[in-house]
Amino acid sequence: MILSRILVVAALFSGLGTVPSIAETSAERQSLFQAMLRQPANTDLMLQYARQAVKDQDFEAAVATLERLVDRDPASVEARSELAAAYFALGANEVALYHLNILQGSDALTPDQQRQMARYAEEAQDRTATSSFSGFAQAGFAVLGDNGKVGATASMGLVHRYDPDGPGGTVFITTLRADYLDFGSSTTTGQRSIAFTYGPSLRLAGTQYGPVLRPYLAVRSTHDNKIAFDRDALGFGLSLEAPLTQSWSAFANLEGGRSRYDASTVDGNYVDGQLGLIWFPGRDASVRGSVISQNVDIADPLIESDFRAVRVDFQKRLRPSFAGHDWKVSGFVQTETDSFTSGREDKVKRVGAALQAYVTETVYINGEVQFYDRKSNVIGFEKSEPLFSMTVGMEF
Amino acid sequence: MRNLGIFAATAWMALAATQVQAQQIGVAASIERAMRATAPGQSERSLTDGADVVADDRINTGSDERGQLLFLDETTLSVAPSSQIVLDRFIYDPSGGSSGFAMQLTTGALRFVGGTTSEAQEAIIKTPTATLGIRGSSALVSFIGGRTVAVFLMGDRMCISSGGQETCSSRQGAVLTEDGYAGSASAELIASMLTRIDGQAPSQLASRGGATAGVIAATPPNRSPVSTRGRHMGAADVNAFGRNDSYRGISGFTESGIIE
Repeated sequence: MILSRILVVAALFSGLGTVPSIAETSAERQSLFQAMLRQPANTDLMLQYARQAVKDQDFEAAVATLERLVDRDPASVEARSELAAAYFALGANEVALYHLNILQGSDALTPDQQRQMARYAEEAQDRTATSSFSGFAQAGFAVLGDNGKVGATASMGLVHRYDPDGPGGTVFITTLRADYLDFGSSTTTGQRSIAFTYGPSLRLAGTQYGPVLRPYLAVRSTHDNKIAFDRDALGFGLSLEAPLTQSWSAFANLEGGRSRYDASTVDGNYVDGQLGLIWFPGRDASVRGSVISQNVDIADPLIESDFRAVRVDFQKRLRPSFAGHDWKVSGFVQTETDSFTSGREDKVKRVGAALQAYVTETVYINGEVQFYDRKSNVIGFEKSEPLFSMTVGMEF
Repeated sequence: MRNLGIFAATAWMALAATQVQAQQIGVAASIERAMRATAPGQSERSLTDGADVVADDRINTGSDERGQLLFLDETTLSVAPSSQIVLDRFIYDPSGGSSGFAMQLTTGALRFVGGTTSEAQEAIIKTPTATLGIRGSSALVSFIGGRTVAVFLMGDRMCISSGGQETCSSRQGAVLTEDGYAGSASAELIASMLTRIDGQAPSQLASRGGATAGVIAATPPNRSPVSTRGRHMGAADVNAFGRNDSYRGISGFTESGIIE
């Protein structure tokens, strides 16, 4: 019922995306456009206008203008390179590849330009492939702040996309995520988890930029150093992303299924839900706020619980002037209440920050700090623990 | 005297109608050799760079002629050699009011790069055998040898209606013909259509140096695409690595963050 309401609201909002008129673009751009109408052959004006369009993230307007620049000077490396990149930015990979092939077939490119165009071509090929893989793998060490114990940590994620080339653009997505953290037998802190999902990504309104729904099958397993909470689960979920405006999207996720806990050897039902908004203040930044609810219905009062949380995440990709490659800065704040049937109630606050600094385009060093603070109405369950980790990883 | 009054009124109405029909809707932005336009009831005129394009113009190119038209809403049409188009309807309110764009491609090929009007409402391109509706978007369209071929480049979606059947696609690179969806465009089809519209690309290029538009700096190869409205795409992928995963994870920024 809740999900159907979310879907209806998302579908309604998707039709309400406001269309920017020229009046809403910058005054400078309007003035340049009027000048361009008066002097359409003025290439300086074209370049200025295209530059302003790029600043406004309006790559389609940049494409239109760059097409004229290329029309006037088809042999220009710079104009054609920018045209190819503008088509690439808009996801028109086939046309981008057409121009990239022309560029790569010419001996007028510098070695740097050759490498750059080859990267665009490689990425554009990947994005048009029927089947493609992407992912990451990272490994390193973690330090428990309260006792100074040093442990090993590793994570990997793998995504496979299969595109059956249908008119609706449906893509079948398989994800696999695995995490490992261990501080040795002297501490109960440590966990191994793996999660697998499979399902299609469906464009609900039949439009490229409309809401996307992904029904999926989920298999999850978590084993930790405190056997009581080892868990294997099989579930079914629905995740939805609904664009609201150019800068805002709504998202929702609902998953339910059956869990089995090893210690008590009992099965139970679980339902996880999350509902939130994402704000994109720029192309390389996002802020996400959400409410999270988890319910475990099982005949074990130590496990049966209701969990409620509010969470805010942010992420920003940037390139400092002194760095040769991008950095990703991210963080989160979460406050939650976990109520068990046994009567235990925990109130937890979590906060974390991370810096992922790329040393090449794909290899990075990731440093994280997280702080966990739990108050409980049951003596012995209170905990306050910082965790630091440093990993080296690679994306592919 | 009464007849004179009727004549004057009729003449005024005819003049007013002509003025409405002759309303400027864009300019010729880039002409290679020549391009000709004929407004209803007017004689043919040759378009040069900067010449006005008016409502209901019929535009022709010869076998070695091509050109680009720039409209007031930023729509750009690149017209291939041996083409004929008719600009049926262009309604544009810069303050964001009602809008619409409709044209005919009676023969030849064109590239349509949408402006503001096609974001608000489908732009219509009619060929003798089909009607295309393009929303928020850009496309390559040809009508050659009695057959319509349209490639959806980017935008929300493109539909084709022919023989009472309508087929829509939101897939970038989709090919639509009178028979409906025909799969993704091959590299050969794209090259063939672009060569027809833009001419053969030179085999040797040259660096011109100087300022650029800054596209490459703004969109490195590792960035996900944006919409034609500048909206950020790929937010749904937050779930891909479990970042949006409500189940308790361990390291990294899984939802539950730190473990017990």
